[in-house]
Amino acid sequence: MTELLVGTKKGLFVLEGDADSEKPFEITARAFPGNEVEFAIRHPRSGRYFASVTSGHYGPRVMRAMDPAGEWEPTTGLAYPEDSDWTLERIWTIRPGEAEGLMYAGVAPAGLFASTDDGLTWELNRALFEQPTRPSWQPGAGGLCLHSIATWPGDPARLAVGISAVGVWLSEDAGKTWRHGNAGLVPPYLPEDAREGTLDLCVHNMHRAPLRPERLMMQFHGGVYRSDDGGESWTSIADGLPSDFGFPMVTDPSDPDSAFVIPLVADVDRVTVDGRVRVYGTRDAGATWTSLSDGLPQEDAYLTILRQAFDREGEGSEMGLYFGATSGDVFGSGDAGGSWFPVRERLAPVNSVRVS
Amino acid sequence: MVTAPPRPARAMGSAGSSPGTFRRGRDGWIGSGTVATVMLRAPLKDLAGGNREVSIDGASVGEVLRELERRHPRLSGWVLDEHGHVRRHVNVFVNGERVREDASVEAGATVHVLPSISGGWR
Repeated sequence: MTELLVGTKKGLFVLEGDADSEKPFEITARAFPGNEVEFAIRHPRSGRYFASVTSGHYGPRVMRAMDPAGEWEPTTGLAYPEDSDWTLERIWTIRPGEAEGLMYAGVAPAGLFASTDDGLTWELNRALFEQPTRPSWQPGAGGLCLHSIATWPGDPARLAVGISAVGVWLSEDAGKTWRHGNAGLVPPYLPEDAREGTLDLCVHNMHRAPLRPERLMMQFHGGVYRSDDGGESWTSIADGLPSDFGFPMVTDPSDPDSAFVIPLVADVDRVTVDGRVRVYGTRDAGATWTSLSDGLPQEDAYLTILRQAFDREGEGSEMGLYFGATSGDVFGSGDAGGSWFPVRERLAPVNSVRVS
Repeated sequence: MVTAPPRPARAMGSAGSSPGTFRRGRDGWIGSGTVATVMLRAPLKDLAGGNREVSIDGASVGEVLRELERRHPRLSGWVLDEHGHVRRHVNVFVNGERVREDASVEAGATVHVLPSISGGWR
């Protein structure tokens, strides 16, 4: 059985079902009704559930629970310093670190928080927060957000984070110092004479290949890229896609040459291209892309799939793929995108999908 | 620099009454003997150990809410943001008058902390 955590504008939905049956999943729990759930995961080591919840009244926070249908407890420390000019708005992602008890949270305005007690208390990464360029950081349409955290398997010191719209930041000392990793990224939304050296780089999603950690894949705001040097430099791999715009990305952990994206029309009309819902996959590091659309709506389907709303389960040819749209529809595949089935229809607008 | 203590306990726009007394704490002036009753609803009530009413000492709304957070740490960040301001979509009423964090609180005042109708998600 597969359990999906679906964060929506109207709370967290926990779905359970079997991809092999290709039948809709059951809703086994709903938490935080009426509140926006930006993101939710189940920690693979502790089994504890974490949810980023933004109350329209009481602000954003990370909640955690051992049972998503049971009691959730608020965690503490996710706040900017009292004397700073920033106020926490959203928590975009939560990610286990590479050491026991270590976790990360990426937030808006763009910042990184870390926890060493399995997500109960959090502390701001000061080195990134105190970057001298911070006053000039520009937001993307979704806000100034740190949404991607790529750890290095087995090495807690090495981190890469992606910020919309301040590019890639790299650390090799567990976040004590940071440097840019933006070589080769081309921001098509800026005039050509404004691109050189700009920090206005709108990363949409970024993933590291666990079997070849120096390789990262990225969905950019107009571009899909690959890095073979740990995020120092990037090469465009968008040729062959119907559009180089999109938000989420998934990789197969067993295949460093893999990436899966969901192209959208462009940065204004953020819907599936030609009214057809298509996932595109590569298994040759971006040299070629294959449309994976069997079972997905192919007519008059104008969906928007947000950056955290695509995930996978397992690996290889039997890898499960799941994504949700702002239409409230969730789709799944039990054969790495070879065929798709409707997991659930008419949920609230989907912000995130994670396999627990 | 030591700042003056808050004005005597008084909800915004209300008539004055006898002031409470004050002592100087680490973070400034703290009311003494200025006990207010804070009324909470879910989810704040649940975070305050299920208490719908909490008696809190404080001369201003900010003091009362900070003391509420100190006593019930699970409430931290829910009503006041990291800068000590009442969140935009939270309303605080003292004796029936809507106030912000700098308003004074009379001894015996009733403080309601409520979600505003503006804060619901679309």
